[in-house]
Amino acid sequence: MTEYSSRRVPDELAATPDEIEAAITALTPGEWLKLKRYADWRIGALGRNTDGWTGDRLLLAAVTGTRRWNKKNVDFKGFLYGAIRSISSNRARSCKKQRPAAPEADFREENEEGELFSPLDNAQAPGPSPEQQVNATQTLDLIEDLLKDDEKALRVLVAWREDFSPAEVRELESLSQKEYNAIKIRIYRRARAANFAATYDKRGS
Amino acid sequence: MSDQRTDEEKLDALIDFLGDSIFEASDEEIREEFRMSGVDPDTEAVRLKRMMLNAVKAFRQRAITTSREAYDDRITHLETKHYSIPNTPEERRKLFSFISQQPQSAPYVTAQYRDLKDPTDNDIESYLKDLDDLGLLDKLLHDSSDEK
Repeated sequence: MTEYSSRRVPDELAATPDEIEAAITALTPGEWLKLKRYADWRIGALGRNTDGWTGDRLLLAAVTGTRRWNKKNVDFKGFLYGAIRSISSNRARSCKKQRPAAPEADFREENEEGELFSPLDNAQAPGPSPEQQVNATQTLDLIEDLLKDDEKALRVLVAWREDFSPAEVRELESLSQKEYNAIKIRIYRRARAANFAATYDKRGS
Repeated sequence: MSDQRTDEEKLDALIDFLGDSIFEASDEEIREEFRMSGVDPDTEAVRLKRMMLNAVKAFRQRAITTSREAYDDRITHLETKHYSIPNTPEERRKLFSFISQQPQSAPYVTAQYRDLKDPTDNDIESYLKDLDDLGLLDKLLHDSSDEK
């Protein structure tokens, strides 16, 4: 999927409300469901730092926020995907830099150039606390544990955890792209079904 | 293989990695996920589309309301503005004639008014209001009286 650029889209290239409305109407039910699942996943990964945000709210923020869709660069689905990812990542970054996490009115801000930033972006990142590191390790261990009856998926996760790139993992495990994608989906489902957010609840604390 | 990332970074990357897999799944797989969590996928898709369309509609409405408020403010301002110009057409014509004869008025008498052979009462009123809006009417009268 095309990565969304955070650069301000000039007026003449920004989609009009009519064009956005037409794009919303044109998305298929399957695309809506995937975007919703993705927004839910990103919010779930924030753990307790959701600050009342839900997948619906993240989806809405992607289209009604300050970001503009340049339809020459990316299709509407790609735009929403990039916006959802960026907004939620920004929130996660802010939470890591604030210990303990302080409430925020929004997940991001935009400067005059249209670049999204967090007021804490320039602050010295203190790095994960020992507690966060332990929590991250425990969460990764837990996901591994969830896959103990799925040897292929477990091997992929372990290789990936050991810093092998996706291409290297596929080669190491002799997997086709299709097989690899199917394994990714299985891991995602296990993590999701196990209430991943709850296991990750101490994130940012 | 070097192991330079912390588990925190690995977990962040895993979230991205697994999130992307949603878009690699087939529509039917995603629909099945919704069904398994007790949500009818068709109803949910319709709800999401409607929610987004409503958001765009609200956005448009907000923009219209903002424009309307700015317009109303401007009209109110114009309606309530008091101009320091004479009340009658005759007096205004006299003032116009006086001002246009003053040498210091030359830069402010635009071609539009300079070329008027026989300006109407409305032309004169508009011109004087323009000068007043710009804060020049008092200045010109003040400068003229200083020269006398």
